[in-house]
Amino acid sequence: MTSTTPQSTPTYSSCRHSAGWLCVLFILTLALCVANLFWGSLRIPASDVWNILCGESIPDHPSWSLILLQNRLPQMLTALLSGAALSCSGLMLQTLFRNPLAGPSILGIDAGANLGVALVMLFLGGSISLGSLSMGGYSLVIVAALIGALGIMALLLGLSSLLRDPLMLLITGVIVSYVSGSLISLLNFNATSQGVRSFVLWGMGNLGGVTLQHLPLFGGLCIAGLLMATLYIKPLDALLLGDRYAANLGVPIRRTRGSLLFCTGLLTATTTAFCGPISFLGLAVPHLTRLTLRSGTHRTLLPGTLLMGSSLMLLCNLISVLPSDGNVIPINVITPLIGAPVILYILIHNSSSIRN
Amino acid sequence: MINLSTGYGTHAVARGISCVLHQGEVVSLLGTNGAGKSTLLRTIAAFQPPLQGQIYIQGTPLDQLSATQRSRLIGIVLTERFRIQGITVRDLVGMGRNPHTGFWGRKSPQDEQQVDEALHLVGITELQHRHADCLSDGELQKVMIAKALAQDTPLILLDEPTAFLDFPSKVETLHLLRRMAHQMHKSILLSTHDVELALQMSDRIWLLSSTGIVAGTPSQLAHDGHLTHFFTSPHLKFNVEKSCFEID
Repeated sequence: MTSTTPQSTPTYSSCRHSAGWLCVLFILTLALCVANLFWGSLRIPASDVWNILCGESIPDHPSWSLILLQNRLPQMLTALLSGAALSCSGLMLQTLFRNPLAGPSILGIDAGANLGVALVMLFLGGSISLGSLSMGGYSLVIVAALIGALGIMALLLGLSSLLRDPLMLLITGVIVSYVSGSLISLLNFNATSQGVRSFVLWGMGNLGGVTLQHLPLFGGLCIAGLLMATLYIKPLDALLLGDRYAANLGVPIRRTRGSLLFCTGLLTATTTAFCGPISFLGLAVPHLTRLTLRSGTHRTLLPGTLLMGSSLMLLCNLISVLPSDGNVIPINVITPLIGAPVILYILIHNSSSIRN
Repeated sequence: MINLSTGYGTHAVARGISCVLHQGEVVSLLGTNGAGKSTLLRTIAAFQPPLQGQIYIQGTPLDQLSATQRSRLIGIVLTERFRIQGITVRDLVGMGRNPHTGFWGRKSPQDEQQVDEALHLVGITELQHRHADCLSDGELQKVMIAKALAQDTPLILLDEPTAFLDFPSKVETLHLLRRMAHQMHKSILLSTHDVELALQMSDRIWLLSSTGIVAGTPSQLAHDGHLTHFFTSPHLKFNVEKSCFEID
């Protein structure tokens, strides 16, 4: 049983606090977008970047405008959208399952995409590998990841009407992850070394994989998912109280749960298909946002999470080009460094508050 | 309710329930553990369908109401606890306005006024800026009652609102429910194990067993022997004069 903890009434207006932070996050996201354009693994003087963005060409370095417009710009947009998409699905899952450790990878949607990609890269073997990948081959990887992720999502949606307890659904997700992991091991075991290498590389996450040609599809799917999420702000708030209270407040539980699962599935499947399985971000960002905004209502939490997710992903992308000798650190090396401390903090914080 | 059977799947917990809840009265639902009190409340709240029979609210069958219509007729207070961060008491009570607000849940000045009134009536105005995850059980209970008040429904169902509370808080909670019923003309149905308190504070009692409900005022039920029969035990006797139980 909990005891009354004496707590001073906040004198500041909590509304103003979160509105202020939303502004800060917005400006930070914009600044990081600009930084992502001006800073890359190849040094391009800021004035030239500006000129290229204004539509001028640099006669001495014709490749610079190619790098900027074909590489940095789509990569920046990819980071912006994927960060928002993963964090948004993390937030929705944490609310839906009322579990602080729920995240896109927990439900097994990641695993589905993994399996799809593994099938293409490993089973079809040496004939298709990322190194020698043509445009068609790359599209095949994306389609495979989407099919895998959507397949798992369909399974979960079907089960969500049978399993009333959200926890059982969460456990199903974990089981699905194990099964697909074992299938991937089997595929790895029988695959060529070339295939294994390209699969491992894909698994490290890559924001640079979305080309200008792919961007409309990727962006369209992400924005559709994010817009859909904003439609559920009111029911998400009610769901914080649990299914029964939410139902009593007029939320059609099954339909809402189905729609939210679909929405998170779409967002996770899209980002995983295009950028590889990016870990920790979807889990950590909603918590970081709660801590900074000190708010739990989705009216402020959802926009905050989107901005926080975007800016963190943009930051990770900046860090990934730090070596500056043309090498890029895989994105999945960086995200756990940010995500893990947050999750540890939550675990410690949760257990200490339970003890109290 | 007419000839209602409640339960899960093919397993009926209680059968043959027929009774009426009037406007402006507090009714306590009494029954032993496993008699189906919570199941009955859940069925009335439309969380689960009845196995048989029909529930009418203000003349309309429950299953013909939409989720939104139901949310404007029935408010609930449950025993389940939740842990949510960053939500203030005011936010929580404000969620009671959800059935009345528009698509985005923006509250009008009238909605805010309703929230103020609910906070005031329950006596938790000074708690309104506190975060919900640092409330005591009793405080949270009051907050959820305030939420049900803000929901502005003619019927309020409470599942064991007095459990986990100390004795003064139990009395205070039941007093509050009486005020809500008598002054605001709400129908209040609560399940409880605090039999003696329920006998003193309720307008009517529903005694629930697997064969149905016996309804009546506390004194009626005491005098016609239903209470004595209902809580039979070799070590427990009901004193009709004092309206209390005595332990042998």
